[in-house]
Amino acid sequence: MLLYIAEILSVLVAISALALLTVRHLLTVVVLLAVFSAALALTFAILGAVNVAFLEAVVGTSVSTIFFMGLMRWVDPAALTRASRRTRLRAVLPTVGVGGVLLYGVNALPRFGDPNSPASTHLSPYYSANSVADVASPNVVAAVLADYRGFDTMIEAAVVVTAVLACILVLRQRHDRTV
Amino acid sequence: MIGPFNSLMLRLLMALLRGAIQLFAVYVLLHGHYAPGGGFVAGTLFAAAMILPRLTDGAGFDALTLSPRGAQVMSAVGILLFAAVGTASMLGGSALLDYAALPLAETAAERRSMGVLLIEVGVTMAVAGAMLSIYLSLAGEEGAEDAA
Repeated sequence: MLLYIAEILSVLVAISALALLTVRHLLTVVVLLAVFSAALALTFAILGAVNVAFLEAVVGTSVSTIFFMGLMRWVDPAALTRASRRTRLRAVLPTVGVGGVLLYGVNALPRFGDPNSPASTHLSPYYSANSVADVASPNVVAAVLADYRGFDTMIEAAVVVTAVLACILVLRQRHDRTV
Repeated sequence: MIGPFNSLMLRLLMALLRGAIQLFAVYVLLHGHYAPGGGFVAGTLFAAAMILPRLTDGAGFDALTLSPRGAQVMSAVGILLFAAVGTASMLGGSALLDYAALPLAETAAERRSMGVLLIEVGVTMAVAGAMLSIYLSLAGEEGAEDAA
């Protein structure tokens, strides 16, 4: 039953993604992005990845929308021009190509919930069995992220901060140029 | 181009909403061991609580917000806190980031649990500072501050 809902939701994801291609009004685009992300978050939750769903709901649905709403104050929709035919073609070709490769690769993935898949035969059983004894944390994801793979998470956080610093430098250049 | 969203209703709602978001962020951070959540989500929520008032009042008055430089310093301090906890466990005679060496609780599992909480605080600070910095530089408030 739940999996059927997940299928309906993934159709909603596809519809909102296709609608994004056709819509011209900026505010509608922002709302459609939020719909896309909310449907995605619900799909994750139904498939059992609750931590990922929570993060998608907070980052994709909420904060991205807040960012875009904030940006609307500095963007003049009348000043936006439609990209040239060649630019659009250059964007479509790689998108369709990469999407095709990914869809082709989906066939080789194990079925959802397959107990014999590599993901559920190597490390996952150890984490599920020992996270309470080792870390006193019933949330296995928290134990894996922060303890078993703490080094990974530390570098990941450093990557986030580094990426943000790069963004700030690029944006500062833009402001300097306009001023 | 749309104007600043400046209405009495919005500002009143925002005052309520901001507190609720911050409280929920603290809950998500502290309850990360037992429920979905943790540092990344909590940091994003804190950033949202700091950005939303800026949408309604412009750059307006808000005691719980940060300057662009403050946001950058906060994200750097978050990473440093994470690394410091890792180094402290190394000084305690164990591997890097093995929190069992930290003198925080009775059993090894509880010590690790406390260590996880500490580094989640670091992640929260890093992510909240990072999100806020992006918004502030998109809004161009950084340049304004530098000029002033």
